[in-house]
Amino acid sequence: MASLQALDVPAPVAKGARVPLDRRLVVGAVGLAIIVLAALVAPLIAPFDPIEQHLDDRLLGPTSTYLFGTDNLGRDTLSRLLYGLRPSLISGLAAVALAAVSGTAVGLLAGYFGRWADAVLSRMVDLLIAWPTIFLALALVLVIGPGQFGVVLAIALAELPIFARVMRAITLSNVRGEHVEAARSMGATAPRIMIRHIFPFALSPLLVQFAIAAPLAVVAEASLGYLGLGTQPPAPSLGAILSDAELYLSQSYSAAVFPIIMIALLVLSLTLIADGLQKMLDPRGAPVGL
Amino acid sequence: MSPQPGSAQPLLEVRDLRVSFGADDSERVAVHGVSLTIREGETVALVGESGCGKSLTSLALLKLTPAGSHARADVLRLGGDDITGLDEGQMSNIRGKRIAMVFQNPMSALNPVLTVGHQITEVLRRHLGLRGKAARARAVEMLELVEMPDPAGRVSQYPHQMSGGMRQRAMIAVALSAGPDLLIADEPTTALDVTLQAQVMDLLQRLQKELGMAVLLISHDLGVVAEVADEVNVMYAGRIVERADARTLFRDPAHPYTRALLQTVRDLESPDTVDLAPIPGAPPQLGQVIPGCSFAPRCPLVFDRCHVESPALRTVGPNHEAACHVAEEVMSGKGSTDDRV
Amino acid sequence: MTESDRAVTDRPLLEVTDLAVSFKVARARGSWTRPVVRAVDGVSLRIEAGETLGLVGESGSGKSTTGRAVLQLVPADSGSIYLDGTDLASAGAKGRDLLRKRVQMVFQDPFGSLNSRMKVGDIVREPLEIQRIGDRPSRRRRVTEILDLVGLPADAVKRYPHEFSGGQRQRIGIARALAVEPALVVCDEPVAALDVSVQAQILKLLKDLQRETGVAYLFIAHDLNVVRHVSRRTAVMYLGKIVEEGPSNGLFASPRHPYTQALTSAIPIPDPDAPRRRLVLTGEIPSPTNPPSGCRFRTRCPHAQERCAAEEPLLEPAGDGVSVACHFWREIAASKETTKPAAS
Repeated sequence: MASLQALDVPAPVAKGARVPLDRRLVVGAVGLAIIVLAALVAPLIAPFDPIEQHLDDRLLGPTSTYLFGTDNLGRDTLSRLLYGLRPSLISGLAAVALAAVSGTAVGLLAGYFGRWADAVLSRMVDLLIAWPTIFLALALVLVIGPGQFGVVLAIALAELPIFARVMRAITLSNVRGEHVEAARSMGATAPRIMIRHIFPFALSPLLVQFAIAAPLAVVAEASLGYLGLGTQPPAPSLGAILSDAELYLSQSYSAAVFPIIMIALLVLSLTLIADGLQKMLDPRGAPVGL
Repeated sequence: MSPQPGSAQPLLEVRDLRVSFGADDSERVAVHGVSLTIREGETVALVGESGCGKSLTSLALLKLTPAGSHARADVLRLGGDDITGLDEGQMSNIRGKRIAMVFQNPMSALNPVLTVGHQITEVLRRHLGLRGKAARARAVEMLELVEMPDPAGRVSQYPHQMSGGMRQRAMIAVALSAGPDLLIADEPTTALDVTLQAQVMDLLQRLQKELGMAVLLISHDLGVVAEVADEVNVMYAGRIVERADARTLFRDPAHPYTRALLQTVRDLESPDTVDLAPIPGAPPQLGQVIPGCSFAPRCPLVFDRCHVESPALRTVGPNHEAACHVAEEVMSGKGSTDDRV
Repeated sequence: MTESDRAVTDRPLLEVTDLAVSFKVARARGSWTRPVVRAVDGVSLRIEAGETLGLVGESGSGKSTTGRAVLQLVPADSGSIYLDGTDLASAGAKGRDLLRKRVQMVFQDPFGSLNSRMKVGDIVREPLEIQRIGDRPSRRRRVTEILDLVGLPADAVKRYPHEFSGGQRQRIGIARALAVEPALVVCDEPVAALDVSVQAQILKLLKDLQRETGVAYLFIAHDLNVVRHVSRRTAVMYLGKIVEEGPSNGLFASPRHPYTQALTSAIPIPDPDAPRRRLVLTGEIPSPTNPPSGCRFRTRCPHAQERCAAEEPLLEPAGDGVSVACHFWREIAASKETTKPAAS
């Protein structure tokens, strides 16, 4: 078919400038990468077996053999920390991922279908907000027994509302938009509209929420582990190490201090990533994001 | 209060107004050297499409350009007094009292949590020192003046309780309460239905005559401008490209853009038009840089010089200026759409 | 659609009869019930293949709602919609399928009607995907074809909407609507958000496309000049009802209904010397939740009489293909003849 008016149309407007990477994001990402790497190669770099007891060397401070000292059963703190990172990372991040996926789904459905669906789902989410994480975890442990799975589930349920709320808000602001109406006029089904025409607008805020929730999850995991609800002894987890060390604080500080520093570093990296992402995706600065 | 129309000294005079955003490498100039003269009782129109800088120009007169912008002018005189150097406090004495502004969207210009009456008495208190019963009575008078139905009742209503037309009237009442010498109306009827538009334009004209006020009308609608303006300034890409009294501009445009725009509007209006001959391309965005004459990419009369040298605004007839290298050819009819295709 | 297709069907492409659409609005304070707005109250239209019907009215007239009801984007309370002879109401899923393939829409807002997270190519291809028309290579070809037809460069497929100007975005919307080769496109204020110079481009494009493809338009707008330019016939709506309809040129040149008369006289003329015989309407449009009894226009009509409050006027033929809904249109026309305006 002949072109009717190609000459009349000017070249498209230039793209917006790319936003430079935020420094905090880089620092946080590097920090997280190091920690994750350390956890991954723990078997290769840990000087000792984390559950091996050296009863003659109990409660030592940092020495040349035991770089971070030992705990009350003579286990090398450094090795325990390295192995202990795994459950923390897995629980923390897996829990958040689970929360993100389920929360997003709940928010989408509530916002899209509105009325009854919204009423029911939102009240359920409100329930989750009202219940403190610790009690949720305890309740779950009562039902399914202690262990990592219960902790992950508890944290996921506790973090779910954040994602649900954000997704619902974005859904509500988009569902009456003309581009959704246009999609309907073409015969698009509800799933298609939700996935192609509403969800993409939530990517940036959800990403930011993820980065914010992750450090919270790590701390929650450590707290639950401290209470003995997570991975069971003798397997190490950051919280459990801390819990063991608490009893012997007067005799040796190293077993307590180093897990705390490790948790702090992990949380700091994640928080820096969150801050950096937020700044980069802020609509004021960038063409990316809401 | 207002001096006789047509007196020697202009009410508002601005020379070489320049508004830009950003600095150094990333500087975008949105308004390049605009000059305007408004006399008492006169209606001056500033016409152009989106992105031409007309709204920014009017905001700059009141020093209300948005954050991050730099506005400067060689001359900015109100009633003969130089106001370029006035600070925020001194300017706030002028805003509302000597120069008032009416906007396109009354719902965003009016405060939604204050009654209409309150918003009027706020102006009365600030500029005329009226209080209490006297202020309230005057507020009702103002609503009567703008032909608001049931003014005594409406004075204690909130903007959301009123229809679009009433809100526009309310906004005009607020603007006029301190009896300004100049009213800047920025697209006052664009958001209204055509029958309401007619009512509001009639109202503005009547008020202008009664109060002896000058009006700076900013619009993209040539029809509205033709009805009320004494002098018309056509803006394109941040510059004034043509200025003339209304009759001359509509009958004998000297700039290709003005002529093409008029042709489009008339073609749309005429039942005999079968095919439109639109201006190719799109109006440049605010701050976009185009070498030479900014209209060159779309101009039917373009030649080499246009891409290199930006034409200055020059006299092409009695009370008629245009910024085009070949303005005389435009006036003689060369290169009009009948020629082109 | 080819010429021979058009010849075969001598029934109208679209026939709407007594359409009614209503909404519930937010409850007023102190009231228990939610008021009902009868946005469209007994509207009938017909559009022949390849022609343009203009639908004009101010805010609250119900014109946009009518357009959306044709596309079943809002549910109709009553009335029938026949597309190509098929009753959409009783045809169920098959009817909806037919509707989506044959009728598409162009929206007002060039910024909001396109998904800013999708590439232009995907936006234009989506209707083909949803309707399962063709396979991947043929869809890609069709997208290139249609983008060229609306005057957009070929590399537009890879770009995002925000890289284009308002007029260009509207072209994208038009390309999307035409991708499935519909028989009818409902245009809801397609140029209202554009600058004058760009409006002219889009209007010309729409007319050229109609000539090329034989598509019909239901052209909804508030700007009378724009409507008259593109539509062969026009219907004027006020508060949910059609008050006058007929061939566009005649309708606007000699309007018979007082509302149409007021509308046409309110259009500003771009000529400082033109005489202004303005029929300024008093008051404002009544609340749509509580329309006036009888003739809805009577509260603002300079010719209103007792009968207008008691009895609602129905559309009746008034010669020259025009229909008017007014009790006294003859008398009004006659009085206009005798009182010629002073200036001319």
